[in-house]
Amino acid sequence: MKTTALIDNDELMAFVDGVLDVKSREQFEERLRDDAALAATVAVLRAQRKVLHGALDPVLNEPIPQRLLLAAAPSKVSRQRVAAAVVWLAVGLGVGSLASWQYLTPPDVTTSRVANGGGVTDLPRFVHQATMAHAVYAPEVRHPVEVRSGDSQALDGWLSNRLGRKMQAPDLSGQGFALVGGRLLPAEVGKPAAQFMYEDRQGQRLTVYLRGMAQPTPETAFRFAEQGGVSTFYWVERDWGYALSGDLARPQLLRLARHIHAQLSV
Amino acid sequence: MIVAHHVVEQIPSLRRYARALTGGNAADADDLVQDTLERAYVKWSLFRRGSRLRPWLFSIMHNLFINDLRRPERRVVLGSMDEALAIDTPARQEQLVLVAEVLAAVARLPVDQREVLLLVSVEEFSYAEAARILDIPVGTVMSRLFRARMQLRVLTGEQVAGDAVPALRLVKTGEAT
Repeated sequence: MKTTALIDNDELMAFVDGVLDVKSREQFEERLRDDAALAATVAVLRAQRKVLHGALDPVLNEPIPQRLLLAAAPSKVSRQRVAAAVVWLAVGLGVGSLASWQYLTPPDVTTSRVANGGGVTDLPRFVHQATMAHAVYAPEVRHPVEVRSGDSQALDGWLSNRLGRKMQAPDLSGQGFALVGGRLLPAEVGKPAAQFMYEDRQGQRLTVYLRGMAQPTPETAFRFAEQGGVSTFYWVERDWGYALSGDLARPQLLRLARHIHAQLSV
Repeated sequence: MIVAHHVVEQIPSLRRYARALTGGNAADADDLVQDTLERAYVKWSLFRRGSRLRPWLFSIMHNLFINDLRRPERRVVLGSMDEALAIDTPARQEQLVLVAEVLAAVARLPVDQREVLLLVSVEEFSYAEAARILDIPVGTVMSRLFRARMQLRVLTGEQVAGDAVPALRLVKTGEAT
C-alpha cells in the first residue's frame, strides 16, 4: 500500500512524538535507513520540538504574578493554602516567590514589622489594607483604576462625597508621576477607602491610600513598613490614615510622601 | 471546593501555553491566564472529580482564547518582542532574537494548527487529550499537527518558502540539524 515515497502522516507524527508501539517503531526505523529524505524530515521535526521547548520553557521559571495567584485563590481560606503551595513551588522550581508568600500570609503574622501603638489595632490593619490594595491593583493592566484621571474634577468630587471629606488627588507631576485615576475600596464599616494611582514614564506605579481611622488614633510621624515586597510610608493625621506604596528606594518614597502630606492635610 | 494549590501548580504551564498562543506578549498572555483561572473558579462545580485538572484548565483557556478571537475589537495577536529586548542585557539579546523568531513563526500559524502543535509538542498532551481539550476528533488533531509542523518548517526557513507543503510526498531538505 505504501511506496517509499508515500509516508503515512499519522505514523510520522507518532514516530516523532515517540508514541508508536515497538513493532511499528522498528518498521519505521527500518524505512528511515533507506530513505534519506524521510530521515531528514524526522530530524527537522525533532529539532522543532527542542526549539519550541527552548523558546518557551523559560516562562516556567518566571515568578508568578500576584494577580494570578489571587485569581487562583479568591477566598481567604484557599489563599492560605496557596501560601503553602507557593512555598512548595518556590522550593520545587527554584523560583523566589517569597514575596508572594509573605503577602498571602494573614496580617497578624506579618505585621510584626509594623509599629503598633499601645492598644491601637486599626493602624496595622490600615497598613495591611493599603499594601494589599497596592499589590492587587498596581500590576493590573486592564482596570488599574475605577475612574480615569481625564475628568479629575469628577474623580475628586465623587471620592470626596463617598469619603465624607473634601479632597483633591495629590499632584505629583512635578516629581515625574502622572495621575492614572482612582478607585473606591471597602475597608471598615462606614469608612471606605480611596486609592489614587500614579505612573511615571517607565510605567512604575505608586498608590496613595487613605481612609478615616475606625477609632481615635494618635497622630504619627512618617513610618515605614514593608509587606510582601511592597514598601509603604504611612502616617495618621486628625484620625485620617494615609499610605504611599510603591517599589521605590526608601528616600525617594519618603520625599514623595512629604509632598502628599503637604497637599492632603485636612 | 476548589483546591487552590493544585490550580496554582498549573499556572506556570498555563502561562507558557498562553505566551505562545498570544505571540510572546506577556501582558496579553497573563490576561488570558487570569481569565482562565477566574472562569475555572466560577465553573468549578462542573469539574468532574477523578478527571485530570490540567486538561480541564487548558480546555477553559482554549474556549476563552477562541471567543476572544471572534470579538471584532480583539487585540492584535502578534505581540511585539521589543519590550522584552529593551529590558535585557546585550549578552542575552541574540538568544532572545531567536526566541522571538520562533514565537513569531508559531504566531503566524493558523490558530487551529498553533493550538494542536503547542499542546502536543510543548505541553506534552497525548493526541487523545489534545482532542478532548479542543473538542475535535483525534484524526483532526493528527492532520492539523502534520500541517502545523510542515508549515513551521517553512516559516523557520528549514524549507524554502513557496515550496508547497506536501500532502503525502516528502521532499528532501538536506539541511537537517
